[in-house]
Amino acid sequence: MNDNKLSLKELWKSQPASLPNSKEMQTKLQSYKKNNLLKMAFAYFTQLLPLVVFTLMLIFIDFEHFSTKAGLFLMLIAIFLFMLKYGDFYSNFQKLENTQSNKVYLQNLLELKKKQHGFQTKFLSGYYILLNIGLCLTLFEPFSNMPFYSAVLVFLATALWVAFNWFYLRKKTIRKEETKINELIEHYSTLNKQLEE
Amino acid sequence: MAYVNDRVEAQDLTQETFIIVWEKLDTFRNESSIGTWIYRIATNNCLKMIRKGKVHKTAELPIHIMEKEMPASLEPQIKLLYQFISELPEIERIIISLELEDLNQAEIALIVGLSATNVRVKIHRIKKKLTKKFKDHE
Repeated sequence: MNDNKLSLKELWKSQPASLPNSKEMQTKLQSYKKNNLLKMAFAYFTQLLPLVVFTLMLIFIDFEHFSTKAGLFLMLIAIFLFMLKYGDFYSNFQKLENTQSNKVYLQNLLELKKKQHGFQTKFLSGYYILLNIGLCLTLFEPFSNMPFYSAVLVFLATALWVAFNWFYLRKKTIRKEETKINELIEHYSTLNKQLEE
Repeated sequence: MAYVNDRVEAQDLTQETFIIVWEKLDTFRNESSIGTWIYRIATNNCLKMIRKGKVHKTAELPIHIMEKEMPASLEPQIKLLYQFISELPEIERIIISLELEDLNQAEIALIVGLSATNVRVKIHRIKKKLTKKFKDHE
């Protein structure tokens, strides 16, 4: 066994490896940092834009019907909650301490993924319900001011869009997220089991 | 390299580890040796990854593994070692890589989160497995 031990180590040590160019490395790291900042700024901008627009509409436009205001408010809440919840998960994931031992890290990772899985289905359904009710309420005022046939046409198009969201997009999103999370949970559970042996 | 037995994936993992170390360096508090600290980041990063697809995309950093030429007689042997290690369960791959890197068992125990005794037993078993694989291959 000693001979084998020696040969494995010798073999391992004979693998060649070269050090990276430190200057080139630093330049790349700086550009990585810059790109990351730009990506984050863009993500915040695209998420905040509808929030700002809806808030400004609520403040500055004097709507005839209360339903329009209520609709906008509901959509505002839906988007706000969505951002809050995903921001929370993203920051929890970022905060996950990867300088801990493999055992602690894997346990935390698994816990986080299980939590995410637990809320995912319910939360996404709630988000779609709020968003669609908000959309219907908001559109009631423009419908009531339209000629009858145009109103029916636009109403049908909206109903189709809501149905598409609810029956296709929502289910597809949930299924996709679930598959991804389940795969991760299974992977991390297997690794945790290896540490229990 | 032995963990994934795939050069591109190994480069990706090395790059990611460099980025995490660079990002976290100011949080290093000397509670453990810098080596243990970096190995923990590197091994956690390996474990987080799923073979079929990665959790997140990496940046392109100029790190080149295996760029140097190696003696022709050793190349097949090293390739076999990579292959045999990559066939082991993930935690065993981590443990044997750290052992072959000449880390002492107490340090490996700190990185993996198992007791030193448990690590010693595991190393013994893994070496037996690898030796058998080499013998079976002959």
